[in-house]
Amino acid sequence: MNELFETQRDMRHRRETAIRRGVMAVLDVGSHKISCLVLQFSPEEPEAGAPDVTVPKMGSFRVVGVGTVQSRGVKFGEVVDMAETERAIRSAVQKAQKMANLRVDHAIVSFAGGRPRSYGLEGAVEVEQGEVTERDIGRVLAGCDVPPYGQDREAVHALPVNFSLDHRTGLTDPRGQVGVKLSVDMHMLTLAGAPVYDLIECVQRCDLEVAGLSFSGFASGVSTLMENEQQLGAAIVDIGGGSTAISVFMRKHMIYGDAVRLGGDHITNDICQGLHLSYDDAERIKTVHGGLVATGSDNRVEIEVPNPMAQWENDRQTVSRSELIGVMRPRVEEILEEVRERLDASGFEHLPSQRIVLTGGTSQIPGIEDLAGRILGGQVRIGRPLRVQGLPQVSAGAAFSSAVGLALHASHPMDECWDFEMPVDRIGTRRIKQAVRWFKQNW
Amino acid sequence: MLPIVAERRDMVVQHEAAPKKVKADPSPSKLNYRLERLWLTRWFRDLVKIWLPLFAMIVAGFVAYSSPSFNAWASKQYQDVRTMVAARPELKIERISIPVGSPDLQRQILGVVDLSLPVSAIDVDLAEMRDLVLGLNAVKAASVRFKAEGVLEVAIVERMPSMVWRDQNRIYLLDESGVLVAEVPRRSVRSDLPLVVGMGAERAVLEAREIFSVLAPVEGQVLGLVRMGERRWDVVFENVAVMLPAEGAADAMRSVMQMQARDDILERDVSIIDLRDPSRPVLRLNDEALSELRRLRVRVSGERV
Repeated sequence: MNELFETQRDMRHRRETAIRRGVMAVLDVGSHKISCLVLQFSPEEPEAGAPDVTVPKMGSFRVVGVGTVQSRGVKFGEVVDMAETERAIRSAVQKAQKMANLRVDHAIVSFAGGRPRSYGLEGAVEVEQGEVTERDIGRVLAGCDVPPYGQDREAVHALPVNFSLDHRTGLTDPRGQVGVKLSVDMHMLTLAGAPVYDLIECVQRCDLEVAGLSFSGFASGVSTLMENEQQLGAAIVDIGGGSTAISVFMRKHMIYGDAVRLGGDHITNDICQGLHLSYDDAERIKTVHGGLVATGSDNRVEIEVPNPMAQWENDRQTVSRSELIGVMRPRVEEILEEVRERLDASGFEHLPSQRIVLTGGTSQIPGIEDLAGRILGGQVRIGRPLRVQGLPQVSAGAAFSSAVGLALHASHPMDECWDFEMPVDRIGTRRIKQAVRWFKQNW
Repeated sequence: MLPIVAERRDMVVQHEAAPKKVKADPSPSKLNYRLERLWLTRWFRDLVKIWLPLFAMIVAGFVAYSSPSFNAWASKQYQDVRTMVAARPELKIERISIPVGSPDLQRQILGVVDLSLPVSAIDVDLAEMRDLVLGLNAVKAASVRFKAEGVLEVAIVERMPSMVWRDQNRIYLLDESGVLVAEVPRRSVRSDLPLVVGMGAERAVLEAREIFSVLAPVEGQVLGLVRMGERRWDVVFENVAVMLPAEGAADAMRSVMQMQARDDILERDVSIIDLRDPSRPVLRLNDEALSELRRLRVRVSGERV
């Protein structure tokens, strides 16, 4: 488990460096668009009597640059063409840097691909000295039974969800409490290694250091779910371009994450094929006229579609809106049914509250709320990300919830397993490695 | 998407007629990206925008300063531009006008200014010219300026002579504050002005004027004032001299004028009225008066002196 989280620890160090420097980029690599936000962390106002040093406050950040470009070389949230993806990331970063008039060196990345898998981990340990210390927490986290999730997979999140001390459970922070047996429930999310490494490589080729990696479903949940929803239990369904990320939150922790490899681009493809249009025209018609619930009047609404074969002026091609709905609806139903399956597998119905929040670009189709309510059951709403200081209105829509969530996550990081010190007997040569790494980085 | 293989050997097609237009990559090239990031770096931007220009300017200035050929070139350029500007008709001065001043003074001023007209205005140093004009004795204040239509105006305030000063056989005119106005060949040139004589007289002109104002009732009889030892005045009448003290000369003179009003003292047989100690005036009689006095004393008291 030591080797396992070494990359994560490195990223954590880089994130701290970035926050100390005050500038960090957030990169959401999707199949449809790549958006980059440049965050500026403002130094904390020195309090009266406090030592005369200005330390950047974790919480207070401001978005100073936004760059959103069409994604290239990404399919199903995974990199399929490194060179293309690198160029797309480059242009997004350049745009955001230009707007911010700042150079960024560190980026936190989120993506929805990589076939996430969730594991519930348990660990138990005897408390050393009656009172639970940070060292005990490190030991219990290190002592979790890690299932064999495969050599080619990478743990991206490992969140301690719940601590139990003897017979008391539901503790968020057991430090200082007295007990004998400390046990922990941990949620670990793994992604396929290759897509992760490819993406990191792409970002590094843009001269950026990866200071964190997140599953986009997690990031969307952080930005979109209300506090009570996070507390009582809610599912966030981030329907993106190429894939749909699902995560379930409970007691302010992600307890399940998954992804469906279907998204808005598939709807566009269907329109392409069904109505014989070019991809770009189909995308435009989907966004302008698209819908999911047909009414009588939709039969009479004729949408003019461009006809590349037109010979003369009057050779026009139109489709009725109900035809368009008829093409779009089955695909959306398919996506939502897939989501339903995943949620059923996660045991979502056992949660006290079953709020479902839809977000992502595709959640903007009119009528999806209705349809999702019918398929997923329960209370469904469309989620928009929290308002963040400095974010322009165009980038505050549902399509940007994972980018905003990453920004929030960067400023208020959740405790991950690797944030705690491992017990010394397990560290081995880590200190020396750290020293060597420090030398390498600085000389 | 760009093709992975740039050109396939087996299907090389000659498309000279219509070369296929490659759509430009919308993303920045790696070089562009790196350069822009470099440009956004704080220290680099400061270097390019502040330090390099500063350094270049210093180096250029130093090189230019130390190279004689550049100096020659630069001064030639400067001269060319200067002559070009000087040749403008707007700057030509054709006439010098002196609105006030006696003809003699005007001649003096023209001699001092010494411009070969026409001349360009930028070749004229007005401040220097004003100093030259002010250097003339007869000029109290002067202002030199350009006026429209090629006129250089020298406006002056003339010094008005108020006194004639004779010193070591030379005769000068002094104004009311004692500044030398001009030299005159003879006293009779300005017989209307009072005369002062002696070394240092020009430095006590104020006192002299005060004394002259006291002397106004007997103006016709006064020959002049003589400065004695650069310290005090003697007033010289036709047959009397009044010796005045160094301090309070005018008051002493006033007391003499009272004596004159009461006793006609100036018409008496007195050669010198000595008021050097004002509290104790002394009369020096002339020889006839003295012998007469002695005679009378002998007659009165029978004593012999």
